[in-house]
Amino acid sequence: MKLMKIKISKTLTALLLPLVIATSVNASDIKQTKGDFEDKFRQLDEVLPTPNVYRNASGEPGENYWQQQVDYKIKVSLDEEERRLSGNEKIIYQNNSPYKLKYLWVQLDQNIFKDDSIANAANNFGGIGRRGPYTKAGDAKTPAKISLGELRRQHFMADNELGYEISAIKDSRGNKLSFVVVGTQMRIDLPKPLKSGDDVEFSIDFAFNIVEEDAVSARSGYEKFEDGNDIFLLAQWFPRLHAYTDYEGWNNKEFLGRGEFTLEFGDYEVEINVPADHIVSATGVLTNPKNVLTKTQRNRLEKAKTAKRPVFIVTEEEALANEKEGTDKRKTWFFKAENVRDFAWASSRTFMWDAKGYQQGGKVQDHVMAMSFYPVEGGDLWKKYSTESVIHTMDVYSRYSFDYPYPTAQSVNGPVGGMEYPMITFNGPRTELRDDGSRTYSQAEKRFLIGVVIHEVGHIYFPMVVNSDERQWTWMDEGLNSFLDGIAGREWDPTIPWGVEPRDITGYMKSQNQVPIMTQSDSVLRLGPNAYTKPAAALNILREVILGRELFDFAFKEYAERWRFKRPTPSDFFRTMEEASGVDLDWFWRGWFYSTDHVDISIDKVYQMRLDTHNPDIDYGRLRQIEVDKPSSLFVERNKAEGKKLWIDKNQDVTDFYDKNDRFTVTNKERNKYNKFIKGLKPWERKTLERAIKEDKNYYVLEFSNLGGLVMPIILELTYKDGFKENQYIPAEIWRRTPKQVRKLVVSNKDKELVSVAVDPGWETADVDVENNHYPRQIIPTRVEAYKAKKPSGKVNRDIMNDIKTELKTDEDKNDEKEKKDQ
Amino acid sequence: MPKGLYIFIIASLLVSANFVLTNLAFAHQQKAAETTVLFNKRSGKLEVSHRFYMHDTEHAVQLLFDKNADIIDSEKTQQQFANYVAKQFLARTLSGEALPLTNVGYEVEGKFFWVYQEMVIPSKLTGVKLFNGALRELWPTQINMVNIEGKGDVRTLYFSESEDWLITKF
Repeated sequence: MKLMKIKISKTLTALLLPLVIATSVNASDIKQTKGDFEDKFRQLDEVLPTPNVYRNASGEPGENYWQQQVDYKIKVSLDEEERRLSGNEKIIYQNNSPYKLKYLWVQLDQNIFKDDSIANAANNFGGIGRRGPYTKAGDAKTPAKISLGELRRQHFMADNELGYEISAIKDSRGNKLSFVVVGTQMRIDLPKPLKSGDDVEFSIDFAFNIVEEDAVSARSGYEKFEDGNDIFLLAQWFPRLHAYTDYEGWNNKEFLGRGEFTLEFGDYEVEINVPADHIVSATGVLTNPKNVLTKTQRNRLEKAKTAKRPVFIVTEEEALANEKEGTDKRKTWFFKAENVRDFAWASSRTFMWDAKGYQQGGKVQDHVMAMSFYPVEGGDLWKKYSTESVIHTMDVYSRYSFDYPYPTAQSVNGPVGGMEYPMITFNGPRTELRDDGSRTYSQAEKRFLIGVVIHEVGHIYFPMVVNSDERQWTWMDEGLNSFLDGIAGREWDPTIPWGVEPRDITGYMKSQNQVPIMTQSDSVLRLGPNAYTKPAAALNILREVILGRELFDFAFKEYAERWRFKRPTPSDFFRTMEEASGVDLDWFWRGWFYSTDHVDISIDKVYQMRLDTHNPDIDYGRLRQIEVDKPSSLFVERNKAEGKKLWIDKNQDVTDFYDKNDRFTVTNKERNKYNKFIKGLKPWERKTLERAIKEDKNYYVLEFSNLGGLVMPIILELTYKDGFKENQYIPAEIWRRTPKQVRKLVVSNKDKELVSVAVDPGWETADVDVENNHYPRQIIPTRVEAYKAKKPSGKVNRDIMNDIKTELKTDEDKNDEKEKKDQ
Repeated sequence: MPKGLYIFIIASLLVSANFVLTNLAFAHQQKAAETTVLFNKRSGKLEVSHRFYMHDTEHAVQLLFDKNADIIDSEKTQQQFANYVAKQFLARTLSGEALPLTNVGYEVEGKFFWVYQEMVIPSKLTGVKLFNGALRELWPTQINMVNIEGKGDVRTLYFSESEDWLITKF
């Protein structure tokens, strides 16, 4: 270990400050200035954008909804030696907006790797939520730390000229267009304003050095293998038009690394020139198979269309042979993709390739080719499960949204853990090479492979088709997709722990430093729980607890269908879910998406009531009984025990009227009053009283308080003396006028005496404290206590792999008897 | 202002592994752990429960111990990992005295791996200093959230990136 002295000139105190979060997020014009009432059911109208002709009040695309169209024709060449990409793109920009545009904004995501990019320059050393290798700020006592990984990143950035080189931007006649690069963006000034309804054609020559994915933690790049071969994953690789929308104008927000992107839909024709021995996987359909595939490969592809299991187009042996040979020749792969919002591709000579057709049926896309591309490191894990997972995803997602709309769906292995693009996904899991030459993988890696493929192919639906803006609202695609991948996972094999259970998020929900889900992606403190887990759990609860599956699934599908190939915003989702389910959910969105409240409902008290009959001959007797049932005075009891003689016992000859009549004695005075009362009742009142007296039901008042702030339905389990259990569902609306405390009347038959009440016994609502969910209170063991009380008989600790070798003993075995005894 | 800070190179295990990558659009490997430090008034114990995602631990043990380490099926690996976590989680009084936690055990529950520790609640504790280093030197993006419960409102400490010892006062 070597110590290196580096002088740091800037003070580090800023880094050491604790995290402080402002509590007020939405300052509202409407203020409650008297008392402390908080309207948890306040309608969201004042928070949501005003409906208009582009997006209406139901959450649908409005009557004048528009979106731009951008078509690309790209020729690109991969220089494997230099690890460099250069290309030319012809762009047709169709202005469907009602406005004229003087300039166009283009995304230059590769520029994030430039030294002076905002992302690099504003890198908070050792700061929270930073992407990239490990660093650690120091102070006067402890040294700052920097990992070899971080140094590798710095070296790579210093040794390589990164970011786009834009050499020419020309209009269709070859005239140069002026442009200004602003960080990861570029403004192209048009010679004359582009009118509404018109299109403009222009071209861009571009090149850049590809980053080494492992060195810089990007979403694409190359991976070096020890034998000198690479896998190239190319995404965010060509200058792409920024979205121009009715809700934000140009969505030109600097790329800081976390908030991903949104783009316009368009048609793509892409010619990819690579070394002749490379296999290319890309968005779209290969249009020149005769030029790039052998006859055998084409036949295999044909066979794969209707195969029961994936068919190898390139086998493992062929891939290995391919890796060794090498070539100087080159080939150009032509791909065509219609109505996609991006284009990504992968290229390598290490790829084996399998495919299996998916007969989807229906009018949208009858047949889809599911394919996987992976090096030998993918092993059996990829051979068995990648392509099958792709098909399973389409099968499940289509039921909850719409038919998969594209002709191909692909899963490619490379250095990226998991990332999605139209028709193509990058997925990281691999097998391990063992000393005996075999390749094995753990159960967790298998779950990872199936899980990541489902998740990334799921992203082809959200946000690649339902085009939400990831740079603004990560939860809109990650939250929805994490919810759906849980559904697809549980339909694969429910014994694998998939998805997000409400109980999984209670730790995060009650923690202090968090922001509402409705927070722009780059400002979110903890992206995982905030944009993936919490929204997924919220949707799960909305489906299973609040709306029920029928209503939820109908509304969710409606949302997906409405915004298929269009651009939804959060308000479109909230409005559609409400109006399609017919349920006012403003309180739900407020609590779960616009606040940092958590769920903690406590049952504080239960008291029993009995109806007075007003009949003194009944009521006075009951009152007497209540008096008798009270424990007698300790004083009197002790006197008795000491054998104290009472005056009345010693003087039994002195008695009067009150020795025979207690204070509950009924006289005609009370009876006359009762008769008068009965006479004074209207017939319906008398009838009602008679019936109630006859039934003599038990009346219980249950008192609840809301400690977490988030209003939720109260799920009750009532247990009666005879052992009978009953569930009751109290809608969240019970909290509408008193959000901190409510009471509920429970009426039961005379013979059904309530003995205990439990709130949310099935842990369905993410209630963070279950100790206050029982009346009478129960001692709920803490996690550690519960663990200590458990007997170690979970059977998971058995070494079955070893035990299975045990020979079965025969009757003659002498030890048999002895063993039985031992057991 | 501190003068002449040293930058210390971690001879790290990270360099070659694929696992150092941030998971971008997929949260399978969360690189996030949750710890609850509970002052259990009923039993008088200070109870610590660490919750890790199985998939995080699955990769971590291979980096921490050896390539064949298996958190799902090997009891040895599970014990090793529990020991590792115990070494990475430290508690002190505000004046710096060590609060020795005893290892209670560990278990797998669904997608989570739990590690438990405890000690008798010391008298006159006015706050605690905590350090939670589990997996942080392996992964730059590892975040360990610690909720302190049983002392009024829940308090939360985040151990990530540059955070060293953090303090909470009661």
